[in-house]
Parts: sequence; structure tokens; C-alpha cells
Amino acid sequence: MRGAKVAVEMLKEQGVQTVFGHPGGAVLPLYDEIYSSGLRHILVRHEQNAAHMADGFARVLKRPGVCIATSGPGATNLITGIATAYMDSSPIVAITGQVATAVMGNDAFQEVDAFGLMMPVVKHNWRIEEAAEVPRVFREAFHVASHGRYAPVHIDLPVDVQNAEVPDEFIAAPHTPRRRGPKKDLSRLLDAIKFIEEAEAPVIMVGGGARWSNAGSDILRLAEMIQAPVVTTLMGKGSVAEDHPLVLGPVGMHGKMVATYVLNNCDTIIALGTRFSDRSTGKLSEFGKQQRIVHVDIDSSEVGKNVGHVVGLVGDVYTVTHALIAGLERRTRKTNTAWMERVRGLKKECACDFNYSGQPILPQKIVWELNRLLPDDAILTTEVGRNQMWAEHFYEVRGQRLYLTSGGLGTMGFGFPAAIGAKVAAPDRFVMDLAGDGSLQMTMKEFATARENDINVAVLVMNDGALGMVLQWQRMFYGKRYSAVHLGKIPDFVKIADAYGCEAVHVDRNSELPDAILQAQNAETPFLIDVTIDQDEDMLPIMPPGKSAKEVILGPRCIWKGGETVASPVPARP
Amino acid sequence: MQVLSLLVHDDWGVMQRITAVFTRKRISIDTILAGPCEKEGCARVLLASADPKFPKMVEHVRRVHDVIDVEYIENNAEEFVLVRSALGRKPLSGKPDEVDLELAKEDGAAYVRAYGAM
Repeated sequence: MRGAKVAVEMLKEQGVQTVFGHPGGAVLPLYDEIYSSGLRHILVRHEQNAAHMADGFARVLKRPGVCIATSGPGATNLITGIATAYMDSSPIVAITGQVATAVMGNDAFQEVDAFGLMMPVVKHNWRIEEAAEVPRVFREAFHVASHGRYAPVHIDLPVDVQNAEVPDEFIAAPHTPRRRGPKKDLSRLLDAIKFIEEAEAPVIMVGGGARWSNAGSDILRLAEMIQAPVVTTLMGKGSVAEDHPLVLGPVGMHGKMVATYVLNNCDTIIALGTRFSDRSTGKLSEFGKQQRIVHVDIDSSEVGKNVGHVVGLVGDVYTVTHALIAGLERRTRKTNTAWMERVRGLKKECACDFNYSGQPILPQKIVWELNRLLPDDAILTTEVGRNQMWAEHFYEVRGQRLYLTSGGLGTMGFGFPAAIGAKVAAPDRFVMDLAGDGSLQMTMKEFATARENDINVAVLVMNDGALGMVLQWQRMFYGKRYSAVHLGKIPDFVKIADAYGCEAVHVDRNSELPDAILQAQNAETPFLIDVTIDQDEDMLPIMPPGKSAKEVILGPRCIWKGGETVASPVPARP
Repeated sequence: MQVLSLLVHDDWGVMQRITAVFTRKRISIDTILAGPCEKEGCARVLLASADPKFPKMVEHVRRVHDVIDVEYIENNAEEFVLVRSALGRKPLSGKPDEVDLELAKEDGAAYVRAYGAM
């Protein structure tokens, strides 16, 4: 069997049914095999989007998505998508073609050092130089991507290897992974339990790791047990149901004031699967100074990386949460603590009604309508910018809802292809990309892919005619010197959608919004809603970059009174 | 001077992966020693640096998929020798004269040696 055929067989062996990709000279043998393989191939219009689609797919199913590109520009185009997945720990197996081994290093046509270029943005990658290696490397790649901390991996596959014969015994040989299971270290479990037991004002901070290990309900059980409110980072949003009374919502740069306040005024932080990104903590030197911190992460190198003085537990969130529950179960349970009473009071102070009516439409109103109208199993993806932050702050991820966003790398253009990947993973669920006009223009060519493959996703464009987040920062921090942020009203997104054979509507009034959202849910094609929003409406509150939680700018609409209005029965622990 | 001793799979790009970890963390490696070792398909890499962050890199280096094991060696010596004797590998370090004396006792065993930077 030739290398290309073995590669396809290995994909099938791993349970892959769909691959996202774009062909080219150096992957022709592979595509020749895909032709008759029974694999569903989704032809993208740009390789970057193949990676984003595989990423979106993986985030829904929690198993590796597969993307394929050719050598040279195909490989370089993939990199943004792979780096996006790497920062958010999403499993992808990326396959790139490569020039023949005989001419490698000679600057052959479409040759680039994809192996070297990918290295910093993948957990591991392989350059296969012998066809006999194909079975082992493919099996190893899937193992590496989906064990331990999830991450993308990359296989560089020269064209002559694709054509060379693989001896049968190599295909039949059983695979032994190089590394078995993730390394766990629970040696400090008793310290952690002691900290939690002694805590008078504990908080559980949940990051993306909780979502990857599906530990939402277990975390809530722990929270109920120790009477701790739960706050989430951007990546952790949705890992715990946000309609649960103990869940306060997102923290960080654009988090909810109650969550940020409680996180910074508790005495013990139980951090589950978060890497303490600067966007979540604010100024790192100010973060966690007053608190005892239990840090749970699957990746031992994360413990102590951004925040020192922690009790570190290395393991996946699900396992460690259960270890904590088991350790705490026999101790006296707390009920109705003074701390929780205070938190409940504070939560009321942060419960603003953002059903604003304004003309032009205010973005908060759009999210309010989405909260109301999207089904309980809807998948919402976002682009990057103010659209993402409005969704983070106001969108309620309840029931089976999912919220997918590019948190670490912050890749504009992620949301639309990720929505397509998510829809492929979950064809029966309603998938919407909440976009900005700037972000969507980076990847809107994929309307062709969506239309051609009947992947009926919806896109809601918050159209402010500008790169909104940059505009806001220039307004707030650079003295209103607006440099290269105005996009104007070009293009007409409805006509763009129409050109791709997709349905679309303009929305200029609040009253038209619900209809448009319902129309999108019943559409027979991909659907676009172009909503003109107020360019001057800033995403507030904001914790300015490099500042701490004490320096949050609230803005005129925020009803938060500073947190001191509800008396504190709990003194801060030195 | 501080030393990290690594056992790695001898695959394409392994040095590139390891050095990239230090580049990203803004740590300069003063000395690199690398070569094949007693285990088939594996290699040993010795890295030395005076950077105070260097000892904390153990977990970051361990993350590299090709790295099998990492060991941190606190070392203020002027000379460092890794000897392969019948009993396994053995590090020797200290002042050059003392180390050479120790090495002479090993009676012709294979070794790697580094001066100064270590």
C-alpha cells in the first residue's frame, strides 16, 4: 500500500470522517486517495480557515480535527489557525505536503521549512522521510494531540513518501505511544484540602481546562460543598452553566464587576485549568497577593509560571476536582456562610438590565436578544474585538450552549470558519458567529464553502464601520488620534452574502432584530444579519491593560457601586 | 553555573525544539554539549547557564515531546565531566585538577568534558 493510502487508512482508523483542506502540488497523491476513501472532504477557500474549522470541530467534539494543506504557501497559511488552536489547547492534526526528499533544502518550487515553522505552535511535529514511518507517526500524532494537555500536532509529508510503498508489517505493528498518559502530581493534595477547609472566603476560578475535561457539573458540586462562588476566565466561559446561582460570570479585562471584585477580595482562590493570562488577572504583580492559591493544571509547566506562591496540583480538572471532593466529603460541610451572603448581595449589584433601546442599535441589546432567542443547545462563536467582549460579558451560556472564541491568540476571522467546523461537528444544533465587520472581512470567503457544502451557519455582524476595539483604545488611551481604524460602510454585507448564494438581511432598528434572528434559525442557506450598531458605544467596564482590578473604568452604564456597599464580615487574610 | 542534563530521542529538530524554549523565555545558554548515548535512538544534551531563571526551566523543557528526562544539577565547578563507566553514567565536577585526578581513576572510561562555561 502506498504512503498516501496508508495515511488515509490511518485517519479512518482514528475515527476521522471529515477533513478540512485545500489541495496543491505536494499533496496530490493524498488527494488522489481521498477521492475514493469515503472521507468527507470540505474544500476551503484559504488554508487558514481549514485550521480554524478543524479547531471549531475539535472544540465541540473534544477530539482532534484534521486539516490538510499543500507545501509552501499552504503550510504557511495554516500557521495562524494552528497557533490559534495551540494557545487555546485545541487538538488538531495538521497535515502538509512537502517537496520530495531528494530536493528538500534546494529551494524547490513551493518549498518552505514547514517542519521548522510549525515547531513553536504545535505540541510536536514530524517530518516523515521513510514511508514505513507513516503508520507509526499518524497513530502517534493522534495520541499526542488528545492526551495530556490537548494541542495541535503537525505532520510534514513529502510527496515521494506519499508515493512510496509501506511494508505491510509496519501497518500491522501495534502502536506503543512514546509517552503514556499525562504526568499527575497530587502530592500537595492535603495542603490544598487544608487551604480550602480553612478558607472563610473561597472562590473557584475556572479556565479552559475545565471545558476540555468536561468537568462543569463536578466543579459546581465542589462549589456547593464548600460554598464558593465560581468565576470564569474567557476560555472557561461556558464550562459551568451560567444560570447556576453560584456562578458569577467572567473575570478579567472585560469581566463582570462582581466576578472581578470577588476574585480579588476573597481569601482563597481555587484555580482550575487556567494559566492566569494577563487578560484574566490584570497586573500580575498585584494579583493574588492577599490570597492563598490552589492551582490545578494538567500541564506541570503552568504551575508557578505566571503566579508564584501556589499549591500546585498537576492533573486534569475532572480528576483533581474529584480528588478534592473525595478529600473534603467527610469533613463538616459549610452552609450559608457569611461570605456567600455577601456574594449574593454583591451579585444583585451587578445584575443590570441591558435591554437598552437606542438608535443606532446598541450592541448590548443584540446580546440581550440572543440570550432570549437562541435555543438552549446553540453554539455561539465570536470573532475578536468588541463583539467578542460583549458576548463574553453579557451572553449567558446555559443548558447545553457552547461559547467558542479565540482567547489566547485573539485571531480576528476565527469565528466564522470555527462556526462552520462546529456545525460540521454538530449538524443538528444552531450555530451562530457573532462577528464584527472588521473580523468577518478576514475570512468571509468561506461563505462559498458553507454554501457549497450546505453548512447552514448564521452570521450576525455588529457593523460599526470600524475596527471597534482599536478605535475604543485610541479613544481612551491615545487621545482620540484615530489611526487606521475606520472601515467605512464598505462592503455591503448583504450583497456579499447574496453573491455567495446566501440569504441575508439588514437590520437598522431594534424591532427588526428578533425577526432576523428567528429567520436565521429557519434559513435553508447560510444566513447573514448585518446590524448597524453605534460606533461610539464602548465596551465597558474595562480593566485597562497593565492595570489591576482596583483601576477598572466602569463607564456611564455600569451600576456597580464599588463592592463596599455590602458589608464584609470577612477580614482580608494577610 | 547551573546545568540541565537531558535525555532525548535522537530525532530531527530536537535541538531546535530545546533551544526554542530558552529563546522564548529569554534565557541565554552559555554551553551546549550534545551527543549520542548508551541508549539506542537516544542522545544526551547538557546545557549550562548562569541565568537565575535557569533552574525553573526543568518543567518547560520536559514539555518538549522528544525529551525523555531532565535533571537539574547545581554546579559551581570550573570543570564538568560526564563519565560512562561500567556502573552507568557519573558526573564529576569541581576544580580542574581535582576532576582530572578523579577521571584518571576511571581507567579509560568514555567521557565528555567541559571547561570554564560550566
